[in-house]
Amino acid sequence: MSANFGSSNQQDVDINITPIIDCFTVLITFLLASASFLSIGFFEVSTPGNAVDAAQSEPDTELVVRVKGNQIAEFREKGKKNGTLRFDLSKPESVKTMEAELDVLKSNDYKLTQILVSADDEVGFQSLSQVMGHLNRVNLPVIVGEF
Amino acid sequence: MMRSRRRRLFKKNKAPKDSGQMSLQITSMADIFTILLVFLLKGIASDALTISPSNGTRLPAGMNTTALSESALQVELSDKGILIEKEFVTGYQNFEKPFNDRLGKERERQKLIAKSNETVKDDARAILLSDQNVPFSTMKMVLRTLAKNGYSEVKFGVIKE
Repeated sequence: MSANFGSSNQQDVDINITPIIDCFTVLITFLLASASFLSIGFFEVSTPGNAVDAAQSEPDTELVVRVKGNQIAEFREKGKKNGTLRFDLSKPESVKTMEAELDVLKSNDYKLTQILVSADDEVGFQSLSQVMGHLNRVNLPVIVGEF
Repeated sequence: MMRSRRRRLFKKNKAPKDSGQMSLQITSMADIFTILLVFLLKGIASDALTISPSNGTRLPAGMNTTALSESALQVELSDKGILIEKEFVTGYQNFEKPFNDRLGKERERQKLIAKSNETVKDDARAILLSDQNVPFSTMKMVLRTLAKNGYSEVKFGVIKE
């Protein structure tokens, strides 16, 4: 590599790029060794008995989501809306129905303020995280425990 | 004489004798390194804190997640057992007591630090990294023990979908 300054005394200046290559090699090695290619996100949950604000009035609607085996989520609603609904998380249309139900419960008609989440003992964390991902869409506090 | 003159005229110019030195063209390598470096620098997590699970923990995938904003006590449920701050505490057989004892010690340590340093506040947060196959019965006990020791705000770590 050389630079020509255009003067009458033409002087070629050679830039030695070997030290740059050395620095790059070290930097790249360091970055490759320290880089984490896993992108980790978080679900914020609370434990029973600690999360509920003492000053908070009793909610109009209580929702208990129970995760069962075979990717079934059971919604038990008490209060202004009563009933039990089942959603199959392996079916997209069932998931959409579940999300629509959550939107209805969060609306002013039912004023859902928190979601209680429980699961059958043998249910793995993977199924639970799948349900929590859908529940997080409505941005309500989630309490995980035995209900 | 003509023959020798003709020979001289049509003689192919030989290349100068090889000095034995070979110049290595590293400009293209510098280009590749620059691109690689830019890519890696761009890919570095912009979060101030990075959490990584240990080898025996396969996190499940999750959507609608939040980013980690503050550090907290890291509890890991791997396939072999329970780890607190990357240190193995106990296996899953009768884990309640050793886990509770260790959590108690961590809590005491935190309270001591908060007492001696006014800028550090008593922390009720814990980060839970659980293997995807850990059953809810185990998680229930872990959450109960965390709550008993004052860790009421728990963050479940999952891989962003």
